[in-house]
Amino acid sequence: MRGFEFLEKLTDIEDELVEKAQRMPRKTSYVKCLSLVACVLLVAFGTKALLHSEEEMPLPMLYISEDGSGGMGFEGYLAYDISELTNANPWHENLEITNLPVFQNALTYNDRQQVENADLKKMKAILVKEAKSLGMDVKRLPITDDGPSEEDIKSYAKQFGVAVDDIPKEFFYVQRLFMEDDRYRLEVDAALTTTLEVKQHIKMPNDLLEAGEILKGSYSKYLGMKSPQTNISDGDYDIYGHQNFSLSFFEGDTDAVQNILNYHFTRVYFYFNADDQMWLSRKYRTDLSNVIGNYPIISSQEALLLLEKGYYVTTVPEDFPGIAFVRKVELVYKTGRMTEIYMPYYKFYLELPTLEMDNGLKTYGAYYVPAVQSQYIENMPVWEGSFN
Amino acid sequence: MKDEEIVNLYIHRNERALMETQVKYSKKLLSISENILKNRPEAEECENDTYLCAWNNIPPIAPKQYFFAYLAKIIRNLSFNVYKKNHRQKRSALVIELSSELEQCLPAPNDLECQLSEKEFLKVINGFLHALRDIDCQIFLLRYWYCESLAGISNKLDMSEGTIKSSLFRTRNKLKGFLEKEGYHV
Repeated sequence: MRGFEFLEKLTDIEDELVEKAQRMPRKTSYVKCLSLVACVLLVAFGTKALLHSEEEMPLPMLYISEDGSGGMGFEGYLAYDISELTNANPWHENLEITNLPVFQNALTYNDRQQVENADLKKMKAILVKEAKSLGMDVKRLPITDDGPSEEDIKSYAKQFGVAVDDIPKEFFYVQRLFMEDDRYRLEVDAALTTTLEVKQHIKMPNDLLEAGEILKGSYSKYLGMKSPQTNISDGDYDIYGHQNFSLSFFEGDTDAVQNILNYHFTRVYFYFNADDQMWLSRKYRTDLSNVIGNYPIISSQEALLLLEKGYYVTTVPEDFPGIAFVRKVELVYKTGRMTEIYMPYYKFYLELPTLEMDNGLKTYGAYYVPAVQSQYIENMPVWEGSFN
Repeated sequence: MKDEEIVNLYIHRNERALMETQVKYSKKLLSISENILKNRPEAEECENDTYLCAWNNIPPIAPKQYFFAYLAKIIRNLSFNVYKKNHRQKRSALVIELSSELEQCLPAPNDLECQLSEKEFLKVINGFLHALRDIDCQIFLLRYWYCESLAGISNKLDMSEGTIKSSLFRTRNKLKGFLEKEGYHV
């Protein structure tokens, strides 16, 4: 049997496997029994207010589900040394942070992975603002979308012999808006992420720091930041031995908590092709208006003790090697688009001795310990392949 | 509309079944076909043939539990048939890439078919896929069943391409080891 036949014959595997594979991972750490009243009141306070006010309202219990551990597959990083895994995370051990906010994802998805509560007005406003910042002629250029045209709807109704009113509503959902000229193709999706395609690719220096400085200058309006901080991240190797880095920016803030939030939730990435040409940018802006509460957090040392006791979530398939193999820790928010609750974790990088390769490449596995004090977590995860 | 309700429309010969199917699954089905053929008009033709095939076969078949898988298998088959018909003129780089990757899983350059009947092959592969961790199984199938690009899988699963490549690399090695262990080599 050759590769192609193998590929073809896979068609008839079990139906259950076929369907399971195309389902999006649901990253669902969620709040259990969250009182609607509490939620509404918390939202009314707004993010900034909560970060700086003494919280008197009882905080809802948080619930971490198994899927909340990642849905990220085996999260391991290949590197010769931990120092190669880099990023500009503004968190560090000496920051005296006692509380951090936890947010509920403002977007809801249907089973077709469409955002059900897309805010078209907001999407349009963002598209126009971004287009203006790039010097596009917003008065002349039309805004298009991925919804069906009048013609599509008529032909659809005709094809199936039904009235337009009888066409299922999902058919009409708009998930993306576009604007395009001869230099750029701009898109804003229902999650409010902007994708900018640069039609004439721009040659950049191979050095990402240098490239970052150039982009900071030439795209300052598009970045829209008062104090853009350069984030050169990743640094891990692929199985073929190539080291990979990413370049992004986030808004620097003198407030440590705001700085951490900006780093995790409002980044602008620039992407390069193999010839060091910049061809794409993505701007992420997560809606953080649904604040659940400002939760007291533990220190990284306390988290280390929890890690040792097995209170962690991981996707690493190997046996836990022990805390002697901890090589790095950082505080992170999990920010996947399907994640229902954005909450902070301590992310421990552990060297996995069983996976060291012959060429000296080591694998560092990620282990997450909730940073929120365990009294607020209904089911503190105990790793034994399952959850409480 | 729920799958069961759509299948019932087919069973009752209600043409609305076709529209509901298209609304619910058109994008997913088209994407399977387009991944294989890299040709939109041909993919659309396969999509229409899929609906026709479903219309002609339901009833007596009533795939209420796994309706999407039923449709997806039809369009995958149709698309590979078109691919084989066309591929002398225009080869899809992705299909070549996927075939070559899967070839690495085969324990020897010999004909595995000699060892395994189609039924046995499926039994072995199903067993192997069930034994994988869910996420590795999903990545493997998105790549080799849905014929998705690495970038597409990365986007869908919120994972880096590096992680996807590592997972595929490990799974292919596991599959090769699994087939060897089971004695499926000449």
